[in-house]
Amino acid sequence: MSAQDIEHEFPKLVVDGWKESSKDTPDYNCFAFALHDESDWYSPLPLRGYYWPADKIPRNTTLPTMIELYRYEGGFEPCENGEYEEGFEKIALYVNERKNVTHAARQLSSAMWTSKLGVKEDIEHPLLSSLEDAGLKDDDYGKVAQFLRRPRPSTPALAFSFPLALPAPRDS
Amino acid sequence: MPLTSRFPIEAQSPRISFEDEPENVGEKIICRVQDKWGSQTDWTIETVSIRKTSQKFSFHSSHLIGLYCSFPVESLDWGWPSEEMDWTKFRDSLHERLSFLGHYDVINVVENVSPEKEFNELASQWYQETRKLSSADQMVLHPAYQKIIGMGKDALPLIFKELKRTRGHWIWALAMITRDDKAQPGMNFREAVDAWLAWGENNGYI
Repeated sequence: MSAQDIEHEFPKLVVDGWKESSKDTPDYNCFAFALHDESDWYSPLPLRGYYWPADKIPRNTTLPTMIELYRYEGGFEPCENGEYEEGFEKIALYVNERKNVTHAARQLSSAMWTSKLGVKEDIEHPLLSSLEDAGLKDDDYGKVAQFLRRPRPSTPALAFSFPLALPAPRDS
Repeated sequence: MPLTSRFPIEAQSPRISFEDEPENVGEKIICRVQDKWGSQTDWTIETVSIRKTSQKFSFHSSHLIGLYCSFPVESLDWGWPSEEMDWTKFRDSLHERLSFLGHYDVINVVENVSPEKEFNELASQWYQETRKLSSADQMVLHPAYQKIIGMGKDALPLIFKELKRTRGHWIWALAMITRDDKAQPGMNFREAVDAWLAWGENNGYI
């Protein structure tokens, strides 16, 4: 989508501000991007090419299932809000009227949020509400209904749970 | 509102009226009907085969939301002819059926659509209305995508052309139409697209 198209789809971005952070691609979706995965399209569709840990997680995108997905895939746990917390990485899950999770945004260390918009671009946006209630009924992301967090991978707080992914601990 | 159907009816498109006999396989006539409560439904008549002595038509209805219900005429029950029939017989039996139902009123024939034109219009609508979705199941349940699946094997070359051009989410439609999965276990989306494109080339669809 062009910048004009993105702002047409999400009019609040015009006021709230945003910037493009990667080109469009159908290879991965927002659910993967929230986990720093840029090679998989997470979907419960039972077809090769789509990734879903079906032996661990039910084949649906309800909120309880998606919480389990992020717990299983990334060690995320539910938390109270999307306020920036030093040392933690957060994900916000959007839920539509049909009670399905439609979108996931990840918080950057700058406190900005980053989102992959369907098959289109990744963007950075300061406000989660910029993507809420922005579409026709069937393609509307709905509202943010859940926040998840885990220790940010680049901090010593993660050493216990992800020892192989960590650099040497910082001097305090 | 009249309670009986009326035939013949005027075509919106100058190219064909419901009186005209389709000449090519794949030709479609969309017949819009309206019930006594004003609810409209599109019935699609598609030419499946044309022979010297007989033609064969299939009959679709769009009144099942999101799913394209396709069933050949010869499989229908309750008084419908069980053999292949010519256009006149088909048209007459359609008239008979609509009259039998009583509360349908045929209001127009929308147009005669080539498979390529129909595909392009449906694909364009699908791209437009799903481009920001991240849920593949929501994408493939979109009515336009379901209609493309309903086009059956006629759509395969058109789908492969789109898959090659966009590398987008056409593999579900291909799997539904071919009733097979050409990707290997463990492949990611990009690799699955490559597998389908290789199969399409090897089988003459590209």
